[in-house]
Amino acid sequence: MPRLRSPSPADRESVPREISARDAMAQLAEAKDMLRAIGAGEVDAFVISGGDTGRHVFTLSTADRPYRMFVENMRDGAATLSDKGLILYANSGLAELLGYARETIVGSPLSRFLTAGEAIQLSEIKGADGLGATLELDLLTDTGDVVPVQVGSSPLVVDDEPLICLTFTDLSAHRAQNREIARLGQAQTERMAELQDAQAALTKQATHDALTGLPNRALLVDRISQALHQSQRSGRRNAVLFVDLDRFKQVNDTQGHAAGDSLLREVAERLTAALRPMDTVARIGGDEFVILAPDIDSDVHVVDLSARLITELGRRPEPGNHATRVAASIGISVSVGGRGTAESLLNEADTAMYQAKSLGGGRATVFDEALGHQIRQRSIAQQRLQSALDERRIVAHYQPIVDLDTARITGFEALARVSENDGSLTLPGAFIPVAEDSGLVVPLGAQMLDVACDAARGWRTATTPESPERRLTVAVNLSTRQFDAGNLTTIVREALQRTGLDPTCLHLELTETTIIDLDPDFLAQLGQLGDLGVQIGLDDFGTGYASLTHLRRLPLTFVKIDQTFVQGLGSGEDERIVAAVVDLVANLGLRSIAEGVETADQLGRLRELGCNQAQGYLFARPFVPGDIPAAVERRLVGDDAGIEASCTTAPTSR
Amino acid sequence: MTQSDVPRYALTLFVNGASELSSRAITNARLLCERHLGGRYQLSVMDLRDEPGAAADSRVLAAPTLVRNRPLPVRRHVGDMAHTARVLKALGLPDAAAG
Repeated sequence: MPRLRSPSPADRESVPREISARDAMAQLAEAKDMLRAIGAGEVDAFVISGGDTGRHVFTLSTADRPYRMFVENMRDGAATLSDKGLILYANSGLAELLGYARETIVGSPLSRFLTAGEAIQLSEIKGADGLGATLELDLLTDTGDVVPVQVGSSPLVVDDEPLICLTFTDLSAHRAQNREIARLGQAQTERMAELQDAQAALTKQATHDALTGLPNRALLVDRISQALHQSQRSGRRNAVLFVDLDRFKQVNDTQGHAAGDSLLREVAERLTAALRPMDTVARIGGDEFVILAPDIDSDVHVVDLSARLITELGRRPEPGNHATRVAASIGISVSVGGRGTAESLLNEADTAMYQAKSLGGGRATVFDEALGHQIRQRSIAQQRLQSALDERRIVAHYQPIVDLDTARITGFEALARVSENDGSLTLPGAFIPVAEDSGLVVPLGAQMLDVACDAARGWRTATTPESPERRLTVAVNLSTRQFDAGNLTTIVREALQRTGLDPTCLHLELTETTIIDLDPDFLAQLGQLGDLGVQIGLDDFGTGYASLTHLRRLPLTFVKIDQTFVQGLGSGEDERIVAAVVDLVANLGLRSIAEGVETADQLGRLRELGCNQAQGYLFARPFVPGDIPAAVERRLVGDDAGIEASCTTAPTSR
Repeated sequence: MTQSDVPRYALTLFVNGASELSSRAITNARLLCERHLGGRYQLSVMDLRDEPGAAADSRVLAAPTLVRNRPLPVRRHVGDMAHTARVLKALGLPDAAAG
């Protein structure tokens, strides 16, 4: 009976079967079922019987193969859970994590592989809202080891069946990495702190003065600009105080730089202590301090403040403190409602400070419009002088110097003029102060040396008969700023070489008032000039310190007696001074030259006192270069009568 | 062993390795058995590639195929086992929902 036949495979294989209608129906149904499944893509392999060679499995390549391979081969574990928590599918990654065969894993509840066991609720894995979750769990492997994993879940429904897809990411390496990161993070934090410290130090260095720790010029300008900006709306006042220590250079020179530095620090402290917290005190140069007092109530406040600062700086030092009392000059500039710029305020305060200093120091001066006008005039004059230098429009006029024994011209003092484009001449009084202030006196002096040497070389050839004792000299004034420039010797040597002038014919005059101190560099340069063969003299003697030290230590050959004494000849005191100076100079083996001789009486007294030479309007106004040969010829036969014949009534000599 | 201890239904699911279709079929088959044959069944999962002979013995021509070995007669259903009603009908299994 077919119905009772055993369904053993052996039977099916070996015994020819009688196929009942029912079996046929069943086979037909199976065939239809398979066709449906193939059509629906629900078949991925066929088993083909190959006779003696056995059976082969042919796997279908399907569109979802990359996805399957991805899930199958990914390093992370992957699993599908039933909604009761059974593992329905596990990839090789999860099998590797757990150390169990896949057959063991599939069909088992997930809780079996968790250290938390059944304590972990499936709802927790699904996520509170049922939309999935990420949580960290510990897996229990077949060897009893614990593997921390991050579990990601995403619930989905396949053909009405709720499922949960899971991924397992091994965190052991991650945890170890985290510990390393935490360790590195700590080190990094420390390093960052160091870097921040270094950064702060650098910033401070860029914005602060190293010696006193005060803000530097850059930071000051920034703060002034900010204060001005803020005052544009508020209309408030801001004051800038330029503080310059009087005679600071002397402290540095006589007590050394360490003492100077210590003094500057002391000043910084005293200034800071005397100010309001919102004020800024900056050090912008050697002994120059600037205070920004923002938002001041009135100018009276600033005047009070500067008076207090001067008092404070002049206070006697505490016992045991070696700092000296300091005198300071303060220039004040006030801006109302944000007027001006940081630079203009600083310039104004600087100008006012110079004003205070020129009034004797130890005082404060407020910048006003008159000073402003003065600055603008200076600025214009400076520009004009600069273009005159650029266009080599510096010319010289020459004032004769007469020997009082022979009544002959021995040489000339070169006096600078600027030849203007309109044909007029500008006299020294209009440009020398600007030249000195701006430093243009250095190129000006160089051009004068060139012009004068050139001219003097011409006099020699024009004078007949030529003899060494009849060589005419030319005197050129020097500024101490030319010594500061450091290349004076070179400039003089080149001027001599270029013109071929006998060095002994070049007389260089130093103004006594400008010689502040005899520093080694200055004396060395004078020595070098002397070595060139030029003669060096002291101008305007008696108006400065009339220092015997100067007379003794400078390599001089002549001294010029200032015209103020010459013009006082006839009055008792001035005459005694001139007599004393002439004697002193003669006793030191130097030549005396009287300046500004205007009258025959003065000339007579000078001769009686034994003065060697003289210059002044009595003899002649300064000559233009072209008139010199004729003038020299006339003087060659000159005598007292000749001198008197050329007498003029001009009131001043320069 | 009493009668009630012997599972009434013996089923074998033949699949093709760990393919996605295999996973789906396994999942669906397990769910189906649990829901409709609760406690009275034995389900084995076999890989065609591991057990090609067994597949041939059960006259399995494709994967996935779920074979009802017991009770006789042997019946087969091919597909991902997603359509529960179809699977139950093809294999002649009781529908729990229908009583």
